[in-house]
Amino acid sequence: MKKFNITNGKNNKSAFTLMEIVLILMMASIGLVAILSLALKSVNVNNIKKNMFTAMFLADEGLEVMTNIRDTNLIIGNYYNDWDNLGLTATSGVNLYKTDYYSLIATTTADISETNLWQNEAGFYSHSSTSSSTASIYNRMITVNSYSASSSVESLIRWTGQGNDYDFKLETILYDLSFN
Amino acid sequence: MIYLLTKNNQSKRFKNFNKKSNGFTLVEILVSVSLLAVIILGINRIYFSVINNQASINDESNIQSDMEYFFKIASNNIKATNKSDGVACSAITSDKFFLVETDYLGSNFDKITFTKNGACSGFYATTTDGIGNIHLFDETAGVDQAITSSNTDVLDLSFLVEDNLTTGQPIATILVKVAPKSDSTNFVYIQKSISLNTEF
Repeated sequence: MKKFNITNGKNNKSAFTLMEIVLILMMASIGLVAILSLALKSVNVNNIKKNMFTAMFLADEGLEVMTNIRDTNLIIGNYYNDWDNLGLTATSGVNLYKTDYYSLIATTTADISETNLWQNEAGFYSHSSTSSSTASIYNRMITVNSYSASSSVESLIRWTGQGNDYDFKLETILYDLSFN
Repeated sequence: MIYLLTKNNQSKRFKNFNKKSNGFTLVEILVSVSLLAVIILGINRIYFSVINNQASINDESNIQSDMEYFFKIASNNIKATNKSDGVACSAITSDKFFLVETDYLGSNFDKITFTKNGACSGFYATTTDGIGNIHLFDETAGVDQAITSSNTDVLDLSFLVEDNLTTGQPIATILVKVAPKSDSTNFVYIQKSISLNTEF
């Protein structure tokens, strides 16, 4: 009959100690922090996505302007790949450029840090900086690998958001469409 | 006999149990309830931030699909633009491709007019019920159609054109400042350039 008596067990039971409670609280807070950081991360991802949306169109614009330069060269009977319009000569090999709708001429550049895009008072992005324009977070560099009949063109957008660097890149091939 | 014994024993057990166990004290209940409240508040915040985030992702994709549609139509139209003869669309100077009216009718929005298949068409924007909409118009056919949805609030629409070149391919650059209708401070700038297919 003794083993049915649970009073002995009851007597041994004590309340939680301070250490136990502290431990439980710590574990609970670690769990909460993990969940919170996850929620925070998803908010960040959304911010990145918003910047990416603008970057996507800016990269596309880089290719469009290069196509425009190619077309102009063809119309005036220039070498199709005379991107910088200097000396009416064909370019060859890999060159780094910056260009925008404003200049419609590619300018050689050393690296992407020199290719900041500025927003004028109307909001348009270009490489020209005036007293009324503000520096945007975006840089745009065009990398061209020119051959005699075609060129591979790469438009790279780099921006900094929340302390990290992000890249968006579009590539195309522009052909020499002249019939000579 | 066995039954009786067991019954007897059980009643004794419960008696002992009731006598020995104590209820929670007021302080214990207060502490546990306040802990629970803190945890529930934390979870609540996470829940709402997830819901808000979901809503803004939804807004973002609305803007994206609206803008992609607008740029698709704009590309199709602007690429097919003809040089003006000064007759079909008398507002456009002959030998030019575009007419841009900055801040049309005192609004925030520019209006662009071009000639396509001998007709006068273009884009402008208006504000209806507090939401900015981009319109496509064709004066000759009498068409005026909003091409962005009511989920997207167009805050600014600007055009820059380059058709003054003596030699070169005309190009039009469009800049749209756009926000979800629920939050105009959460705007984004989108810029796109479109070259013409027509030879100069």
